[in-house]
Amino acid sequence: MRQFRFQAYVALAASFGRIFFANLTAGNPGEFWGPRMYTVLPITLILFFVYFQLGPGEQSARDDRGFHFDMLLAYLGTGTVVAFLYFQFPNEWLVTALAAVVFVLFGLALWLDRPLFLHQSLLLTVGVCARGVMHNLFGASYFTGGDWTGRYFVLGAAIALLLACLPFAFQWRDRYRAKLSNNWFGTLVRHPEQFMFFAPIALLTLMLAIKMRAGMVTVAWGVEALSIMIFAFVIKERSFRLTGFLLLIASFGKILLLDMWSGAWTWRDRYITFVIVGVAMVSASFLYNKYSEKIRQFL
Amino acid sequence: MKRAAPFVVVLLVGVAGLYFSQRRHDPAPVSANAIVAMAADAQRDLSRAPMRLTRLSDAEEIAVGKQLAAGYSISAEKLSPEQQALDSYVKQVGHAVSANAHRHLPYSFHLVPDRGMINAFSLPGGPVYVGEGMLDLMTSEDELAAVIGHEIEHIDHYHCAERVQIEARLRNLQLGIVGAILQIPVQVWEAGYNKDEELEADREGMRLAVLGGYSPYGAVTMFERFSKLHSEYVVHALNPEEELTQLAIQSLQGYFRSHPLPSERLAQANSLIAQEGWQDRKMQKPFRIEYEVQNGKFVK
Repeated sequence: MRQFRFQAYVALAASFGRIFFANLTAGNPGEFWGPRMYTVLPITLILFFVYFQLGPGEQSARDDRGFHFDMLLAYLGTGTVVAFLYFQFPNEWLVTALAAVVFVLFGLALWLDRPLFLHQSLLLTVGVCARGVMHNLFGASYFTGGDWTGRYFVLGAAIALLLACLPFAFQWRDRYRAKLSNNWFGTLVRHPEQFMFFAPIALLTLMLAIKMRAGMVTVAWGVEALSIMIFAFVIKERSFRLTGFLLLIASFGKILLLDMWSGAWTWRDRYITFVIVGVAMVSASFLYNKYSEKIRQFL
Repeated sequence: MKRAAPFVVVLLVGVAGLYFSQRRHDPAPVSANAIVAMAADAQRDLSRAPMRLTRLSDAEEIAVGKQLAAGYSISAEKLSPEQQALDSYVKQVGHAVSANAHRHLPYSFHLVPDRGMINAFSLPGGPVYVGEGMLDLMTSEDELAAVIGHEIEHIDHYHCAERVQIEARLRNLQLGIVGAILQIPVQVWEAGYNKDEELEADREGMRLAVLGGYSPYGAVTMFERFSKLHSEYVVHALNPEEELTQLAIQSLQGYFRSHPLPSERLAQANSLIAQEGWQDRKMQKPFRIEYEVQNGKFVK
């Protein structure tokens, strides 16, 4: 029976390969329910179904797990979903669709207690950030997409979905807090909340810098910094708080070094920037004073 | 039982997939287009940030375009009176369409007197060329406006300038040295851009044509014609051997010409018309040239 199983794995890998030649570009453009959907969807289900048959409790599948067929099938399954989304959605929306997959994978990892899905979601988060920067920020049209949706909504939705993974990430951290790891990936998997916070925040900061009017970037960073600090105080996370603090300092530094001397700025932009960053700094100072005792406990 | 229920669900979904596939009578062509499209998009995405950060200035782009145009140009004396009239028609429509481009560049429009050239291309800084074979396919002025609008947008959206940057880097050319840029063959410009850029040029080109007073349906009828030509050209494979042969042919085509499928471009054009509320602008001007010849020479 072992030979049959191995042949089945080869057939599954071949079916995965063939979708790139026959199924992903099938159907008419703009067709939602078409040959792409009803041929790729069953393959995805089959890949995951077989993956779940190779669970840790299955004695007969021990040999197959030795060859990492379980891991291969799970990656092929997720790869099929990613490839399907690539062709199913408009190019600029792909980043949001992938962020939704990250969210689902995080949920699955926690629900089924399978670190493999966590690994995939972390890997896909890197993909979301790379796609967001290269396609949605630098690859975007120079003249179109100037409306609210094109400027902020698509990438903003992706960032929101990545940040929505934070509750899952904190639960995962609490579950595996006691486990030790001796390499960087092990540390990353034990503390996914750090990565799931810094990746979207870096994307958000860059999005504000590139998409906003030059005069409003500092204001946006100031508001972002204050929001991060308030969030960090609420969830008592030191690294998040320091990020907000550093971003606020960077905004202040930008005002002193660049904004005050920029000839391209309007007076209205200057007033708004000085007032809002000033308010953000006073608010941060207030928060630090109010919670100074608690901060000392965490340090 | 724990395994039986998911197995039945997977089996039912698989059977449903097979049923719908068999019920659909238009077979999907086998090609490497999916991989080619993904590779082209990845290449574009990887190159766009460095391109944007090392952008050529408008003056540099215009200078490069002039050098290239001088290398590719055809003397007006070599054109027949009909070709001169066509050239003049292309210029007239081109100037009407380019009036609303985002970038104020010295756009110029030229006929390529070759009936075998069913194509149009543009160079950085403003020159646009339309093949005579392409004009032979047209039945309305609005179709010409759509084609020219598309080419202008390749310049307007820096697609041509970015191609110069990439080619100069790949061929190790110094853009400042006079004549160096002529090492880039004309085929580089005739080959399509990647899918994103082509669709962007289609979309924005339609807007330009409409702003220039033309019907957006010029693009629709043009894409319908391309779509018909494409479906006549593509042979549907009926067995695995034919699939493999077709795959090899289409991979090469896809590699050198990464234009999106005409059906995809047509779908976008129709969707843009619906989105912009242009449905009432159906009337197209006929493709018509009038000219006078005296002593065998073109007069006006």
